Amino acid sequence: MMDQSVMRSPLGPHWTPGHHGTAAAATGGDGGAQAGIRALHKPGLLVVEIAALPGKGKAMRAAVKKGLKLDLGDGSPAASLPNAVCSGPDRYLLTGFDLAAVKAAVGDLGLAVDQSSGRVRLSIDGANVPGLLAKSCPLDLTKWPVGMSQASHFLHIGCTWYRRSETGFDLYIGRSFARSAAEWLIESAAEFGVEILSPED
Amino acid sequence: MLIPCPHCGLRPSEEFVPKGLAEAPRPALGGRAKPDGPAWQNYLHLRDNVADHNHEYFHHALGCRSWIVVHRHTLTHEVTGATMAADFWKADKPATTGTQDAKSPAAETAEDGQ
Repeated sequence: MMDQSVMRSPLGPHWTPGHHGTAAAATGGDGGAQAGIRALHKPGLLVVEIAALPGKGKAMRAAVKKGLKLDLGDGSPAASLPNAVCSGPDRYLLTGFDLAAVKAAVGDLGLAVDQSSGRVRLSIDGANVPGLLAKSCPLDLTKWPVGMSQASHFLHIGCTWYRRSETGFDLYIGRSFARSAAEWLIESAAEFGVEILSPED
Repeated sequence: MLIPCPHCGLRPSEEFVPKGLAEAPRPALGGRAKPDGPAWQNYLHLRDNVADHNHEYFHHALGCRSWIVVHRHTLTHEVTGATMAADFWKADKPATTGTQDAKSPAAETAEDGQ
């Protein structure tokens, strides 16, 4: 993997820790001191995408459960895990695992590709996140249980979503689209106030 | 228009790219030595364009990136089912929404008007 110290941020120069947009939270803040949306990007995340060969989905999930201790259930998006997000039929984005370990677990049941330089994970949270998603994402939040992933788009930029909590979401975006997505996110969240957290937070 | 992706569930049509009729049989390639020009001309350009339910390929481009076959009415945009394209040509096709081959009242009305 490439040395992170020499990599440029995929999110561009506007993604700087601190407060952006309106000063006070629109709703749900403690006296307006807290931003309506908090956003975080941690560079250097290990991402490996795995995809089962035709007809091998169930066997691959069993192998992943045995080798990586990840229970992917029946393979549906609702059975995703915070570090194993379903991005399509029998296809997953695994985070925090070394490619060699994933390859050893998957064996010849599927393919594993290092996407650490290809995918960027943005995490957003806060009382106003549903308001942001209302204008940026076509998905119905009332039919989206916590712990479920959805392959869809963010402001027409293709991405994989994962719902961490009632108001917390992860977006997995292709690296070359991440700068545009980050700028759109800052602009769209400005009306609520957005706090970009430091990667050390 | 909402399309029931077999993997993702109901999604807006803006996430999909339509790719034409799925029912037309694909001609044999033939190779450069024996290209079947008329057959490919028919396959690529000459379609019946019926005002009725059709099986059509859609690519879930802004989603799970699956190729699916959607059962859609070309006049009313009524969608009555969808299946994975890989399963569409299997002999034992999986059930979609259970109404894949049933004509809707709207389809019958359209036919009566012709």
